[in-house]
Amino acid sequence: MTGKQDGSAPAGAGGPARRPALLGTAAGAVLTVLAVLAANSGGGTGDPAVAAGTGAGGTTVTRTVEVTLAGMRVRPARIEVAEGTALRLKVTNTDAVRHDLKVEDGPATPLLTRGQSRTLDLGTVTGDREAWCTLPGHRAAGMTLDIVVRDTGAGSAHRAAGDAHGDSTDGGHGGHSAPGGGTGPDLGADFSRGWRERTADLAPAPGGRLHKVELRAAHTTAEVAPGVKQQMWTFGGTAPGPTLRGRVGDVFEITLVNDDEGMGHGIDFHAGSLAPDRPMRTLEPGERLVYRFRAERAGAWLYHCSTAPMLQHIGNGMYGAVVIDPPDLRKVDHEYLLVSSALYLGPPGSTAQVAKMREGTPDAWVFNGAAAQYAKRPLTVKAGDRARFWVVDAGPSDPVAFHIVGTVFDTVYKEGAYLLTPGRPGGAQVLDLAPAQGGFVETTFPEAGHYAFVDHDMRHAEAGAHGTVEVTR
Amino acid sequence: MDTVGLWSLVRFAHVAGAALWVGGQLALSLVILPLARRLLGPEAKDRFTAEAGRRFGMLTGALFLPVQLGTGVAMAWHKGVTWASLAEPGYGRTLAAKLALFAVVMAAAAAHGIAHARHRADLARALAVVSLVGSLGVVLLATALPAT
Repeated sequence: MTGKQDGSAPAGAGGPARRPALLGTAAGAVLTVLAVLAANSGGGTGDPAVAAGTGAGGTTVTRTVEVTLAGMRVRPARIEVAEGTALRLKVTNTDAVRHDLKVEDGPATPLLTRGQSRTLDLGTVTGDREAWCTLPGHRAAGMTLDIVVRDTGAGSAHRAAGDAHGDSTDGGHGGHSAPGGGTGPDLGADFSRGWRERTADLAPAPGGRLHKVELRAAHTTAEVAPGVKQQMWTFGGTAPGPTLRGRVGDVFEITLVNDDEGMGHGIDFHAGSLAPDRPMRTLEPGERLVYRFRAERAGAWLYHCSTAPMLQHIGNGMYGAVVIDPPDLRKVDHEYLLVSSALYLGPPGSTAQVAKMREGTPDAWVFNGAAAQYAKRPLTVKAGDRARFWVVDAGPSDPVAFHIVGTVFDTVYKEGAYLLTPGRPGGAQVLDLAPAQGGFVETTFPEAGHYAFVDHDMRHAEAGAHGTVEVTR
Repeated sequence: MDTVGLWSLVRFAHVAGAALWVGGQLALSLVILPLARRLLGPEAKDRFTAEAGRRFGMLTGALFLPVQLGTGVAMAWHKGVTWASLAEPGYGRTLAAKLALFAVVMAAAAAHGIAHARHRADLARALAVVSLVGSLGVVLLATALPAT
């Protein structure tokens, strides 16, 4: 065979340069570099939030939004962009578990561990899109992000549908600020600056056998979930109302004043036995009455507004607790009171809100009036401390199954009787209360750590009925 | 949810195919062909290299290419890639660059075969190396993409 050469023949055979391997490597490397440049084109790293158009689309505005994944929520849950904006999402997972974010018909992040970030380029946004975490159940639990094209004309159909679906905000009073995407308030967010939790500490019974208290009924706006303000109907300006405490045989003299302008209120103290007709009557605005009762028997008692419809009056916040100590109550290092209830957001008394009450679909379940408040402001005890948790279920409709993760109750007192005392071999995990019932449990925290407490109906726990006890050495 | 699920197997086929093909190229270029040139007589060497190249090309076309294209398209569809999204900066452009480079690699491989048939040994060699280096570039871009 003539004319054949092997690859290392000297030049003169008419082929390319002397060392084809070298030339080939150089050509391959150049092609790769060009490809990498093309891949990285269209927006350098670390762009400022808004940049004038670069590259081909001369007047494209680029917007970078920081997105956080945590607590079954994407924050922000909604991003509004002008049509034609080039949108980039800088996605960071701040949760202890992994999450990702996938954009409808678009890019997706890989699974991100805690602290990891990834930037997604959505390109120019021309229509509404949704993004969500792809892990099973996370999207259904509310981990979604709505990207909405803001238009200058009348609202788009999508936005109209969105507004109608959420709760509308009333002008001045009533209503609440609409929560973000997902179902229910965003419990991963923080309460507003300056918000104070309702103390869970239960003060000891004041001295004396006669307790005089004035309770004023009114409307109060309170932050009932992180960033969510709601108009509540209250005794003493808080929901739950002020806690009363005493011993068996004490007399309570309550002056009830109706400061409300538009509706009547009354009150019912479960702790005392008397004919309801006069003491529990409804007061018109401006009226007052004196409700006098003797606490003949020990227990954790509910009080609540006695005006119909009670589902709404209690549901909107008119409840509180009266603690009558059983005799020889054991000394403990900490005493807490948690009043459990359901939260219904929306203008109080509105059709939509009342429908939720009737159907039993509250927006949150809470301890002491605010969703997840003790998760944000934990209770603090020392390892080895003994604590008593009084619990009263204000309802209006749901039972509560009070449990403290990592502890065993050696004492259970429910509805006036000890069900369990330390001398017995058994232990309890839950204090279960039907609406209006009350009791307490006692436990010792064995070692330093974080002990969550919950309503163990998981729908309730995940929707706000949880808190934390921080145990230090 | 199984970690070794359907899409993980699709990804496996795609990645394994790429690894074996690039590995095969390297084995040929760094091991088989240099030894053939050194140890075989000119006629045997020419026949061997020609047959080796032909066989590798046949396997590329019959096995490698369909698997890579099939699994690649499937993963792109699964991720929601559209033609329009290929122009978008970030994922789209990276994928587009990877596809373009892959096309160049395949073209270079084909041209290598043609050059060899026309006895343009040096050109054939250069094109083979372009194909090899380019395919490493494809792997580089592939690893820059988030997992499917």
